[in-house]
Amino acid sequence: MNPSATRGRAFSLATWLAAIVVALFLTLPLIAIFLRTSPGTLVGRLADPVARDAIVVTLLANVMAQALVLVIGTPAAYLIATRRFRGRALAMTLMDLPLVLPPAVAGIGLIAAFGRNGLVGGVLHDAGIAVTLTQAAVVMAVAYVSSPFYLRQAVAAFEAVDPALVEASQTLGASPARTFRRVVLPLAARGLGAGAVLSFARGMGEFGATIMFAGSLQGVTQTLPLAIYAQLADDFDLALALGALLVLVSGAILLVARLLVSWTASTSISHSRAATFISR
Amino acid sequence: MDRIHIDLTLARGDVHLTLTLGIGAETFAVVGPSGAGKSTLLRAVAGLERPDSGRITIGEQVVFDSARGIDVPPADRGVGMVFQDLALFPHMSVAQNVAYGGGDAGALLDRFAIGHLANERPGRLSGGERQRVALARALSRAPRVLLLDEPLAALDARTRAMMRTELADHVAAADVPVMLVTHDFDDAVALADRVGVLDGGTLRQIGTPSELVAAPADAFVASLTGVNLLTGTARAGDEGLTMVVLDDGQTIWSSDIARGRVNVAIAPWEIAVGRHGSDDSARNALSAPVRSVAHFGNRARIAIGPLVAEITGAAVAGLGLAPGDMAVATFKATATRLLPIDPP
Repeated sequence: MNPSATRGRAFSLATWLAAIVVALFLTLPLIAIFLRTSPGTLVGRLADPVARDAIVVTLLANVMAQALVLVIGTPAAYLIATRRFRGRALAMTLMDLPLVLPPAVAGIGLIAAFGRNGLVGGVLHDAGIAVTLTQAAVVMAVAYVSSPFYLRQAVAAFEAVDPALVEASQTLGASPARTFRRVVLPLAARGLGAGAVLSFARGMGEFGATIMFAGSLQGVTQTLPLAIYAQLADDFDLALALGALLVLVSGAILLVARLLVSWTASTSISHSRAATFISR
Repeated sequence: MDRIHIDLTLARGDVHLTLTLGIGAETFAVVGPSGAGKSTLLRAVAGLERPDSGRITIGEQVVFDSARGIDVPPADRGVGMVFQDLALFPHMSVAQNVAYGGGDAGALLDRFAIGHLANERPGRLSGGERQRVALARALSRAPRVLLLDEPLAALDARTRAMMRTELADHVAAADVPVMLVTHDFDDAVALADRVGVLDGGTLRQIGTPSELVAAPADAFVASLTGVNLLTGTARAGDEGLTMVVLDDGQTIWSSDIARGRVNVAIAPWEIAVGRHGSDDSARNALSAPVRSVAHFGNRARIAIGPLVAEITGAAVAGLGLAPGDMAVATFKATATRLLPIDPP
């Protein structure tokens, strides 16, 4: 065998080895969750009151947070996508900031703003409204860290809608609301869906900001990730069962996101930003 | 009385429109180069662009009046618009597109012979079919004016020639005033009763297509109509004619009266072509090599030196001219228009 062929084979071998290491490193922890105890035990442990409370708190907080993100975020994203106004670039940057912000910073920031002695929290406290250590605090923490995922996608989806279609709708006698409902929303729907799924995924896993701002009270503010952390020392099997549940939920979310993006890519509307965002 | 009256000033980027225009029960084409502000003008009528000042009326309705603070939104202007890229709703069927504005979609689908496509999405249609859907949709609300933005620009060359004829029929049958913009004078000739030439933000000339060809107001209008333009210096000649010494040294005789620097406009179909000078009454003969021969339909355009002549395809075949051959272009003194060039 000649030397260059040997070198080529060695290089190929090295890349394969690296790929195997990466694959093992990323999947081994997930596999370990399911292999450490029997599936029956995992399912059984989910009946534990701690698990049941955490599931309820997580679902409630996330559904409410995502509902708020959709209801308030959608019109805001439409404005940013379609209007050119002073400070638009700044608004876009601020919108992206929580994406790179450490969750602990989000947590301390929320306390500084809405805590008992906070910027706004002091006024709320005087009015008899306490936010910290309540379910509202979980909703706020989740919305804070997850909304940028939705907003980014929504702005991209709205920007991809051809302005001429909006104008055509107007000349055909449609009001702005009807134009939004019949033309803009259907054409942006898949991009919005992909954004909502990403936002939901981030919200489900939220830990840092929640534990600082909302605490970890079982049945009130203890979400699934917080419950895993709380049970780590006391009941490792329960922590594992909660972990397994979140792995399955995350896998399902990823699948839905991929499907949404592939559907989007197959239509004539371009959502290239959405596609690269998820597939990377 | 004018069905549409436009009196506006509007500045957007490089476009600075200042014009007054009245359109009656007719098809009016605004022709001009890209960037002249044609689309901006059309969009101002539709309410999609807000003039800086002025007044626009459609029928009896004042839809814009800067002095009185009137700016009627597009939805309430009663205009039907066909957009340059047609802007069909991609997520709706043909029938849903046509029915979007209300009105009898079924009758329109029949009228435009697109009933068999009712359930198709626009993305699956040919260029010509999409054009028909866009027209049907624009007419669905019985508009008081039909606005067409470069109606043939999106089509390939073959479909374009076909659709031009078809569009002319539809426009004639529409029974509403039509205002269209195009960069192609041939489109305007095929579709419009009157043409306004837009350049530099103003209407340089308004007239029927034949008026513009026969008597272009200036060199810009002449060049837009596809008429030949030569440049030279005019002075008095014999027999009451004007003698123009062209910049390349050749001499042209014209029945127009002009002195000094002029453009000479000659319509392509006024020029006869031979291998040698002809012995008819034509005063002018230019000898030059054939640059190109382009056939379209039963006609051909043959470029000889600085001139383009339009003759029948049979005549070209009879002459057997090919690029590079010497040919003689002849035309009468009465076929030339002299357009004085204003000293800069």
